[in-house]
Amino acid sequence: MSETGLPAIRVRDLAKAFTLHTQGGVTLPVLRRLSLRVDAGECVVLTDPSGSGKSTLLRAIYGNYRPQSGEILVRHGNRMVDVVSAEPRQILEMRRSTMGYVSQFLRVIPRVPAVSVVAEPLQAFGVGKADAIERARAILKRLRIPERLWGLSPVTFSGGEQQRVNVARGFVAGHPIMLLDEPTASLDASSRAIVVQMIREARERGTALLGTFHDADVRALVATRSVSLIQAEAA
Amino acid sequence: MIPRPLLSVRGLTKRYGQRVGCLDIGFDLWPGEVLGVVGESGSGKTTLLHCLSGRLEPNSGSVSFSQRDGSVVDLLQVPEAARRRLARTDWALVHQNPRDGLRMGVSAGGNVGERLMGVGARHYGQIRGQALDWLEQVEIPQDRVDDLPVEFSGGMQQRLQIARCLVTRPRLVFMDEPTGGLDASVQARLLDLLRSLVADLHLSAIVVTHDLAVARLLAHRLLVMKDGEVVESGLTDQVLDDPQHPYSQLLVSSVLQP
Amino acid sequence: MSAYNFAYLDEQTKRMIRRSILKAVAIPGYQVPFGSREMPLSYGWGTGGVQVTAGVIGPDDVLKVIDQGADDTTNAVSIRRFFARMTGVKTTTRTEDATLIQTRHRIPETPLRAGQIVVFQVPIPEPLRWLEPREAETRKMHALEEYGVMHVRLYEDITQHGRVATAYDYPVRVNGRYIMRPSPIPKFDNPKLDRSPALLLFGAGREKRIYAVPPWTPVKSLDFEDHPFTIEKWDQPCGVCGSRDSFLDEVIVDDKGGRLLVCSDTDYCERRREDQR
Repeated sequence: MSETGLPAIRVRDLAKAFTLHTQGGVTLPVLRRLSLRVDAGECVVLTDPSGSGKSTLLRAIYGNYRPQSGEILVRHGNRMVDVVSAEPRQILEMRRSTMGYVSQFLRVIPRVPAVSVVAEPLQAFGVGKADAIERARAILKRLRIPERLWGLSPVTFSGGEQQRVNVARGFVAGHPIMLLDEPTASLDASSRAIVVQMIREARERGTALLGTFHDADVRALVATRSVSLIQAEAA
Repeated sequence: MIPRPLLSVRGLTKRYGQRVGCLDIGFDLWPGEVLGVVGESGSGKTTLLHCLSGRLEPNSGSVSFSQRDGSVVDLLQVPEAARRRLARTDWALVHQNPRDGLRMGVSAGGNVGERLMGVGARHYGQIRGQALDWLEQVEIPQDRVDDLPVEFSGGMQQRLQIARCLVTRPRLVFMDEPTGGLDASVQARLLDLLRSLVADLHLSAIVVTHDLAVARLLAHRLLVMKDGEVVESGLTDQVLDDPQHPYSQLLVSSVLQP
Repeated sequence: MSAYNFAYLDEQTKRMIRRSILKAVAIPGYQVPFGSREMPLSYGWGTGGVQVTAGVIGPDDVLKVIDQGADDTTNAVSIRRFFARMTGVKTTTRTEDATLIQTRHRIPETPLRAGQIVVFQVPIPEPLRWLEPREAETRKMHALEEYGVMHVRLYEDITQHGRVATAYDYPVRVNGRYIMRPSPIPKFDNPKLDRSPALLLFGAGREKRIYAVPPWTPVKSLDFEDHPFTIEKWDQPCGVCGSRDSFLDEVIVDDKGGRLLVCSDTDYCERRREDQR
């Protein structure tokens, strides 16, 4: 529980369906009146099988997917902001300073070197370029990306290397809320261990984490609470 | 100071006789924001850009622009003289074809320095110095400062056009298919440059493009246009990853993935 | 007297020209369109200057006509004779005796006085034409004072030649407002335009424009702070009269390629020699 008593994330009666107009207008409901709460210092893990809407929920919280109804209240500063009805500007502001997101894949932009990819969220946050690069280097080092790769674009990296850059980018700014969508999927055991450590440190700092991990061992190490979406729907 | 949008467009409509160029367009653009306008040929996106940048006169609507001194003017109501002055100082237009935005018979340095001279710069050495700085920023070798743009490659011409536009630090940049007609690797370099300049200079921009990859890379928000109307708008990643409107879905699903 | 109207043109045409001149005088440096007539000389030979002169000349005027500073070249002689026949006015080669001076490519060395009118023959009146071929656009640029491009022209000169290489028809700013081409006079003569006691009229026949600089109007040549405007200098005086203050032409004097620097203003040079005897 935070000092102010506000949750970090509070989802209320969230409904999300996909209507595929290009496929004759078929509608696929994914989330049905879902409610969920995450507090600071928690790492809530979603335990459903794939295809149940775990990614959809994370993306909806991040503002990447648009729900049909319901509320997603996120603590931004000391106010609760509803992502569902927020202005695009506000969501961008929240992504800059409050919400971090680590997906399964790194979206690669050609020509941008790995260290800049990782430094970018810090610079968006207002950190000076030199400092941002320093911190980016530190976290890349921690994730055991060889120094000779720092100045190269991740275009040519292996899947595991790309994902480690992705994780670095997600964690470098120390956002108070972290959304993690299979962050360790393509990583080997030792890299996974580093990420687990980073998650635990974030938790101890008071970060609120919500994520999905298909690896049961990882789940066991990071989760403070497990939630099943099916149970959280129309509860 | 109450934060205010840089540009507020309401009810912007342009007709060509019976045909609709753009219909009832409205949006706000905030400082430091890049708005992408996507759609296919005939969607009205270029018409919209021309109406905003002063090249076309719309039939109705208002375009409120927040000036440097804080006052707000309706660009469609001010006299042409004022609009042209704003076009030289506060805005810039990056044309799809760099030849439309450059003086081909004037050296690269002269092209970059022109806007400075237009606002009263009268020291040759300083003007040349600034031109050299800008060439460096857009990754054009400085020893080409006295060369004519006809001697440059397409990508280099486009980067020169960008330098020419940005030298007076406009607050709003219009871009019309900025990477159109360029090779893939040249495009990548240009997009990279545009991304950094927009971020470093805290520019606001309206980028018209049919290329969704360009939109994803440059724009914070998108307007999807079809037949002159905005059918969907929102955060770039949201419109591209979770399109709601049938046309947006069609557009997104039509993009080839290499 | 001939069977022609006084000064060749009919009265209505002269009135039209005078109206244009009045407009031009009211807006120093601004190009006024006028209904240029067919004259008995080809375009490019001074039809504009001749029409302006015809518009202002009166029976009591004393006319001087020079071409490249000389009263005795073919064109100067032709035009002077034309007006003598068409008006019967007195003509002269002496600058200080003239009330009306038509000139191509020079301003006389003898200082002008109040009450004199100088008429310049202009080939291309538009200073922005080098960059912008559209008439509609150049008019807008003048109206909105969008003159950045003129300094681009000077910038390009310095870039290519290390200095502003424009030696004649050097652009000027009139009364702090309009930018004007002073006709192909050498830049040496530009300072004479500044706050001249005389009325300066400019006529372009082919391009159909008249413009003017009223007496005592400030006229400033364009330049850069670090490349200020300078005039030509020679390392020798005039080989005939010894003048060190006039514009000198280089003349070949014999078959062996011998050269001599001589005043381009023939009247000025001759008078100095007279004074020395």
